[in-house]
Amino acid sequence: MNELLAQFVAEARDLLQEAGHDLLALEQAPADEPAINRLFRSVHTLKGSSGLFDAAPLTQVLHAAEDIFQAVREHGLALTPDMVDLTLQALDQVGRWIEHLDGHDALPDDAASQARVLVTELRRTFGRRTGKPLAAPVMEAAGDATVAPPDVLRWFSRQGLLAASECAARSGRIHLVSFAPPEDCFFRGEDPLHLALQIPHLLAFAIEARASWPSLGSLDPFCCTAAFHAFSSAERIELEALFRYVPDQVSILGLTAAALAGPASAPAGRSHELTTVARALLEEQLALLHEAGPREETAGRIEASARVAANALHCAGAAEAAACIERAGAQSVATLTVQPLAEAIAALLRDADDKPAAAANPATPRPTAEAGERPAPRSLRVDQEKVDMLMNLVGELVVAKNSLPFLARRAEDQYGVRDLALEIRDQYGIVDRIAQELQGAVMAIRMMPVGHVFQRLPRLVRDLSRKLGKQVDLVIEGEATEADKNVIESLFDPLLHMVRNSLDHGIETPAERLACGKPGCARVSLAARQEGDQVVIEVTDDGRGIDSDIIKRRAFERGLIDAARLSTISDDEATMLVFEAGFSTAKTVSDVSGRGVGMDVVRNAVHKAGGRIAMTSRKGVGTTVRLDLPLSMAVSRVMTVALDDRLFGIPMDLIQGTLKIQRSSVVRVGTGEAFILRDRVVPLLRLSRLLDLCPAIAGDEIAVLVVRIDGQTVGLEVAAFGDGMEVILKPLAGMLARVAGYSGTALLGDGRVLLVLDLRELIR
Amino acid sequence: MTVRRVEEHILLDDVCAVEDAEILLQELQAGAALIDWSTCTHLHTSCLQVILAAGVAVSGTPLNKSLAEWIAPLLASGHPATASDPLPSPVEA
Repeated sequence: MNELLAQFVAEARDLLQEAGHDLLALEQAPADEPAINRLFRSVHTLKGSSGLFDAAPLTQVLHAAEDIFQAVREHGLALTPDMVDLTLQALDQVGRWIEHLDGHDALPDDAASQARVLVTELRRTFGRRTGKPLAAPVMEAAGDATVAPPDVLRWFSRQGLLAASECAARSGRIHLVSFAPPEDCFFRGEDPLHLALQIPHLLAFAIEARASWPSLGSLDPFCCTAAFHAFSSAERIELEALFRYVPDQVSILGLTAAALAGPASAPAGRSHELTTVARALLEEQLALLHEAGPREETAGRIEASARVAANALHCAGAAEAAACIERAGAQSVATLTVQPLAEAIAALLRDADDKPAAAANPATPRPTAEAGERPAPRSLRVDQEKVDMLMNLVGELVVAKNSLPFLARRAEDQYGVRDLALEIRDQYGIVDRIAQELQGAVMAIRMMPVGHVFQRLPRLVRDLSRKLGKQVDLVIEGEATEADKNVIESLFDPLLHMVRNSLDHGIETPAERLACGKPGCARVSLAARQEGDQVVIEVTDDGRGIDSDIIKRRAFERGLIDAARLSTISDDEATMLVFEAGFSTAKTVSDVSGRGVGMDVVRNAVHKAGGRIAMTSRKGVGTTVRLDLPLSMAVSRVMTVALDDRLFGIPMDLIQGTLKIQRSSVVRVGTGEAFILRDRVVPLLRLSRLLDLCPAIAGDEIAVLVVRIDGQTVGLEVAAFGDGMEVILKPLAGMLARVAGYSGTALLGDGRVLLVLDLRELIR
Repeated sequence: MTVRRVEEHILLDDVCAVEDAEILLQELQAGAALIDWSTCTHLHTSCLQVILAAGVAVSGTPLNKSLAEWIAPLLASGHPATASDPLPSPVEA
């Protein structure tokens, strides 16, 4: 994909997300001025950059949205939930197009028709609200301008400007009408000139070629390239009525005499600060122009370059510079030499270079940045693969470093050089420290705030609660809590399911809530915090809670538990049954949730990310789901245990403790074994049996590792305990990936491979 | 016939519609040097574009009042540029 487009896609995703976020904030607090300003700017920026690509439908939708946000910003138009729905829908569509652009380099075929529908819908809804149709300016914003666009000097003759100024001085205000019909309008039976000449109370009239007029040889008589500008003393409403069928092709700008005087007296600045994108395009054109090509293609090449450069400048808001390029391009085409155009582009680039120097000079003050301008992000966009590569290298460094202590031991034991061994250990200390810092630094790159996932949920809650007819207040806490990117990304699906479940099953309708004496508006809270090396996320609602009796009965009906278990299961354990596959208590299957997938998806996703899930609920009071996730998936803490002369790794987060018990204290329970731990009977499993290895040597004492898996405490008999260590866990790949019971391998400092066990799977 | 070639001249009669632009273009490419639009009552945008692009001189005052008032000045002075503005591309009233 074209690098420019890739950059646009990445930027667009961010901007759309911010816009959606601001839109919701605005719905909550309509007077939130920074939010509307940010929203307007996001959409405006996006629209501006989209103009560089062949994505007219996308630009049109953004343009319509921009007009609306401007009406909100400047005329205090209040957003109703319906209007927010519609604008969100428009932004969603833009998002889908952006993803399509990413994959296919072009918009889908039906984009134009979809855009038409959306734009009409947007304009209709908001036009009705404001009591007047919103003019859809192509080049300028609707409403009154304090300064006329400097282009009027270029469009109109001195006489025309004079007539306009006089009339403005007399009547207070005149209108500048700019009408840019689309290129294919002749095919629709339109005659733009005829329409333009019907503008009432004309004061001055001008025709402009969108690019310079082509030579007769290359002129397509059926392609409309003319645009019209006119001054009129008519009222806006008359002008809008005239152009009512082509609102998106015309802009109507109210001007006072003072506004007209502005550009007439101000010197027209030729140089313009260029955006990076425009700059890149100009440089590219310059390079293209200097490339030799077949003579017969020269004119075409020049024309193409001039068009691209001029369009880029137009988009960057440098209309003067664009006109300059167009003129040079026409000259180049006429003489069939690239020099005039190449020189013009080079001069522009030079001007742009000089500009910062001039700006630094206090004698030429620059217009102050608009208040609340988004600061340029001081960040790099880096391909995740590069960071992953770095992480892998750090992992290898850690392994290589861990071999130094073994080397030191060999130097001492095998070769008897104690001094050398000491020195190696010293050096090891240094390398170890650097490696740890390096590891920390790379992990920090991958850290992301939880807010990244949280911010996608308010939208979901809003849409769902409207759909379900429930009132829900979403409270988010601790969105700044950070965790590894992979962990954060694995969070979205579980959170989505949990919030959906809360809204669908947990939260009652306002009427039910009021009948129970609860406030009509329910509260769902999402809270994140760091606890040790874990991120804890809690989703809490104050809904009807879970009736453990119903759960038990359902689970029994569905064969998830047998009759014996039904009579002994505790309420807490019953609550956890909702995480079993195929479980759903919803009476009806809705399109929101209730298909019996969902909570087991949540559990699996959380386990995959190396986390734990727990649910507590009180009937009538509410439900809390708690997720414990590792801060980082890259480094795992394991404890090594010995068995049959081999080492195995057990994930540290499962381990509750280690103990030695007398063999005589093991009791047989049915076919299994158990022992007593703090007055509780804990099942005892023999790891050797689980792994089909030789049993540990019989002795009076046995080593038991106490682990907690899915809320159950289990004792594991091992031969001996090893050390705890941090390892870079590599999942089993290829043929080995199908071997159950292992979550991966890690390299030990002495070159041995440590197999890390997946106890959940082994014990099941 | 709304676009007629008479020796070096092109006569624009009555309503010049969108399809006349092509004939007009052909005649101009064939070397016509002057357009007389005295009897023109309607000039389609496409025809105007051809005249503007050709930069050809136009004589007479069209019957259509708006054309005479607003478009004729744009075409009269050996368009496109006027003294007050040296830019060649835009045409001014």
